[in-house]
Amino acid sequence: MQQLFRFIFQNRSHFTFLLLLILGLFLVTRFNSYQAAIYFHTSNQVSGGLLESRQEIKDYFNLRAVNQQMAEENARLRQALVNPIPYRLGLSILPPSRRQALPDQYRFQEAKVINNSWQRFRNYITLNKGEADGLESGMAVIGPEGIVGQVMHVSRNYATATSLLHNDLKVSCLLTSTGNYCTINWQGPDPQVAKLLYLPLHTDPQVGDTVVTSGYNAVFPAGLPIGRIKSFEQASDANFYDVDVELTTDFQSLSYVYVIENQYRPEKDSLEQVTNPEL
Amino acid sequence: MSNRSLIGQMIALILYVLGQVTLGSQFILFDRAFTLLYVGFLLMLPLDTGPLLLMVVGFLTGLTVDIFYDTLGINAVSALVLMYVRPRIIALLTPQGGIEPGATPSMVNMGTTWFSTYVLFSLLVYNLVLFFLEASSFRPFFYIMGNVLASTILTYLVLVIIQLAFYRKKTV
Repeated sequence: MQQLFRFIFQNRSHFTFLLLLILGLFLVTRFNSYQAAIYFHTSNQVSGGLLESRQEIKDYFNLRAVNQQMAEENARLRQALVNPIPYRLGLSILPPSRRQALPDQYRFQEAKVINNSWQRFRNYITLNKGEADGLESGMAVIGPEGIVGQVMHVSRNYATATSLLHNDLKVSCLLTSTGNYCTINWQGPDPQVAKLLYLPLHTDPQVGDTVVTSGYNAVFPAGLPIGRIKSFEQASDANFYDVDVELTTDFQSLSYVYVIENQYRPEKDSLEQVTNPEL
Repeated sequence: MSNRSLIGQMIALILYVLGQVTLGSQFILFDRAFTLLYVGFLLMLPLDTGPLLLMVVGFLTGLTVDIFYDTLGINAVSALVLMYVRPRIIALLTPQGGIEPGATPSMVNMGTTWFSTYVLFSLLVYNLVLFFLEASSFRPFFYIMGNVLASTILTYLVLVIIQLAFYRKKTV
């Protein structure tokens, strides 16, 4: 016994290393699902506040790009006012009955991006709105040009969202030309290009076909633009096409986004829970 | 470690971490080269710091930076590994005559060649762990290696500038 203690004491630096290494790897792989994780993200008050002041300085440098984006979005909204049916958000693919229901089902809240990255394999976005503004974990984040991500953690005044540019985020989508339901997943490193998964070989995709959200997962409303097919190829002995999608959202110039609350989400989730308790 | 140098180290820690999250995180070249200047704080800890203290300080500093990057644990593990190998790197590089205990391994104290070898090699270790852990695979191997090398060189240059600007020869 004494020898064991002496062994541990003599190698204490190696043991400390191992202990901290295990703790660190636990944080990397598992910790995000815990409630306490909220204090270790940019959505906490201190880091959120610091990043917000940093963004206030940076704002001056991209005013021109933001103005341009706003003007373009205004033009689209004006167009929608005059001519409501083929609204840019892609609502035209919905039947008229659903279109009527839409304004009540989804609530939009604008937010400013105060921290953003696209160079890593797991990218996150920090927003300057939080619980106080009605944000909740799991809400959809969209930009003027297409979908952006999903809210992960919220504190009182800030929120951290998983960017679409995140290896682990998969979004159910619809290829409008063929009507196939697929999954969009970004695998890096190009911030403009994501992969379209599970497009079966018997379909006939074309370069330039539009990919929109399917509305299957109750996070994103159906029909929001995601991107266009950039290229596709048929790998040998694969069941699906290997498809590259050019994303419509320019993550490098993201400044203002909208967080969408689906008012019916609890209802849909609980219904699905009853139907399939294992979900 | 005396009280006075302890306070000095804490001020240095705060300045390095603040510099990292406000300026360093924004200074990214070609979407490939990242500036991880806070590692400079860990590299500049006095030479006679014990291995346990090195690892704990490294882990906690990395964790603090992680909070601002939303990469919980990744910088902490990379800094921990760096602090684990730091005494070994220093032992490899130590000149025959030995070094003055309690000295800071800064450029003025150790000379440009020693400092450069030490910092470049340490940054390489740190960045290798950081980028491969972040990608959690070896798949785009050459792309990640590109990031590692570019970040090592950019961070080294930034650290040299910090050395030239802020580190003076100790007047006893």
